[in-house]
Amino acid sequence: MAKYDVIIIGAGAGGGVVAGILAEAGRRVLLLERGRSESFREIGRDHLRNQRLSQYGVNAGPEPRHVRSVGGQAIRPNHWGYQNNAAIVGGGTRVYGGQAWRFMPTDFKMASTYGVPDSSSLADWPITHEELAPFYAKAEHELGVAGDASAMWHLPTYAADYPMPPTLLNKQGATVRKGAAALGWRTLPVPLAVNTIPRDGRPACIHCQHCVGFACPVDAKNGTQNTLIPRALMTGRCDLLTEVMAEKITIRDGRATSVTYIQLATGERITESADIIVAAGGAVETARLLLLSGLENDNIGRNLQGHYYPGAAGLLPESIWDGIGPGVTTAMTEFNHGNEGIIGGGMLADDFIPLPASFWKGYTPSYIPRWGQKAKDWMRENHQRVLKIMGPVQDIPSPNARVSVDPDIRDAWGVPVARFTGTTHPETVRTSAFMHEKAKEWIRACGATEIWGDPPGLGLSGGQHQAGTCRMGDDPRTSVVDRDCRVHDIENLYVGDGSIHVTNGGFNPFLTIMALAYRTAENIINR
Amino acid sequence: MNPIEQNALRAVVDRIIPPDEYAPGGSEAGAFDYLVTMLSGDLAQDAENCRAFLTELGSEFATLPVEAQDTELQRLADSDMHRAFFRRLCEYAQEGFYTSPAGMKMIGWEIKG
Repeated sequence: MAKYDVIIIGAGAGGGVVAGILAEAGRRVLLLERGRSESFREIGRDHLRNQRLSQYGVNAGPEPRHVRSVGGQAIRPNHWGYQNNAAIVGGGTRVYGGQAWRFMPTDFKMASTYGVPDSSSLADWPITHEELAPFYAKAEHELGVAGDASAMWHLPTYAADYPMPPTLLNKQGATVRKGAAALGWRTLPVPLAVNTIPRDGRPACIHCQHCVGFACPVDAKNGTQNTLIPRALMTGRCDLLTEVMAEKITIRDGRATSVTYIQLATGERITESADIIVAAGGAVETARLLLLSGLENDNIGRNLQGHYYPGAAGLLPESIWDGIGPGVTTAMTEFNHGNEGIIGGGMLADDFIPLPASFWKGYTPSYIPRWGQKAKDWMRENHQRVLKIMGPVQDIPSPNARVSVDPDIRDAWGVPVARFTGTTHPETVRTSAFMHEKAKEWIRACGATEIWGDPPGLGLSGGQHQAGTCRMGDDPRTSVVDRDCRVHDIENLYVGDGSIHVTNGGFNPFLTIMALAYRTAENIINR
Repeated sequence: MNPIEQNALRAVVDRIIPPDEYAPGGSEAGAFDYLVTMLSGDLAQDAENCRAFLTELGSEFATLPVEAQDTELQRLADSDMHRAFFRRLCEYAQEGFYTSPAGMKMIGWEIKG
């Protein structure tokens, strides 16, 4: 008899949830993670090497030997083109900002709402918002999300309110709410996976100025590393192995039989078998693994999507600074859909408190000098008066935005690396330009005297919100997994991360990844 | 870097981020030490460019009045040979400053937790 019932590859948002639910349901689980389990101190607060500003490195993995490739060049995790998320126990949820959004009903029906633009692979999901709603609720309550369900006017009514009240309204938030009100735009508190009251033996947020990109100093930020994964381990039925990388899933006669993984420290290969295998390494690594495992479905790796992030910054007449983190408080969802001549849209919100170095690099207008007294004066006089508003625009998928396996470049363990080619669909750029104008309109309504920033140009979009490379669908010719998130024609292989998103919503995607993972865990239990 | 080059670089950092009544200059805040460390680490690929830049400024640069230093830096900032490196050097120095306690304090940022 095999030692495990289930092998889960990747201990992030999705893999962590599946591990917790299956271990509690009595399954013997092996959870594989290529990163380490790291403390607040180990993750540190290096302002130039973190998930927010990766100028010279990253703070939550992966280590530099995990290269990827663009244009025939091997690139490292802190490179702009690497599309890094994180490689650590908890995955991106260890260091994220925790914006815990449900996708809207229309986000699941993009093709039938808008039609499919030329050369796009835009499609509807095979499931609806209504089918996912109970799993969204489960994620919100078990993980711990702070928000106000009654304010979510753009969504169907919630069955129950969030388990915690919204985070403290800071001066920036009060300012943007006033600006939106002047425009007649409704706003709502951003739902955050952050304790606003003590919960489950952990304290409430202390409103520090780091948050997104870092670990929480008091462990008030909720990810799988401090919720579902500890629950899995508490059962005694889950083994968590870190610093191991899955190299191959062996498939015979329509069944996944085993996983071969590499001990990163020694290079040793180990093969473990199980009844069920769940790939949850993120949209880049899951695609790579399935391709390395010899799966031939041509959709694997295509339709890579992240989010475009249009936004703008403006200078207000007075300070809007009170230093109360995490910073983001207020979102506006008036333009997620229904925009004349535009496909989709996105949510806009005020921003997390930027690191001073990030502010200097990304929030200053292009006309200020980069050196000398004027540069220094500008920062001192204006830093506390700058308002930035931005938000995720949902990518319009292109089959050419693609992860494949590089034929030449291998990583330090001899495994072919993930290669990126192509760009998102140009409609994404048009939608972003539209949202950029909306951000400027909002900032102007807040009283800005100057506004700066440009809309993003055409490029590949993946990164921290990576999705789409193993999309869900009923037809194996146009999708990779079925509506149960099981790989077509392989009856015991599931995908449990953002890869399965058909489209990625105009919202941060982690809560959707988790809701789907709860649903997948239930599907596995009910087999 | 020899002592003359070090003095010149320290002076350059103090023109990129000049001391004033509100906050110390770049070198006192730590941006000079940051640069020295980085030029033999993550920014080693720019060490030669930095040496060429400092050579062009000359051995007397650190002793010039600040107005003359600014004029000289602007000349290099406008030169084909040094424009790109000087632009990068400014960013490196600013990174050093805005990750230093003095730089963060100047804009009211606090380390909590």
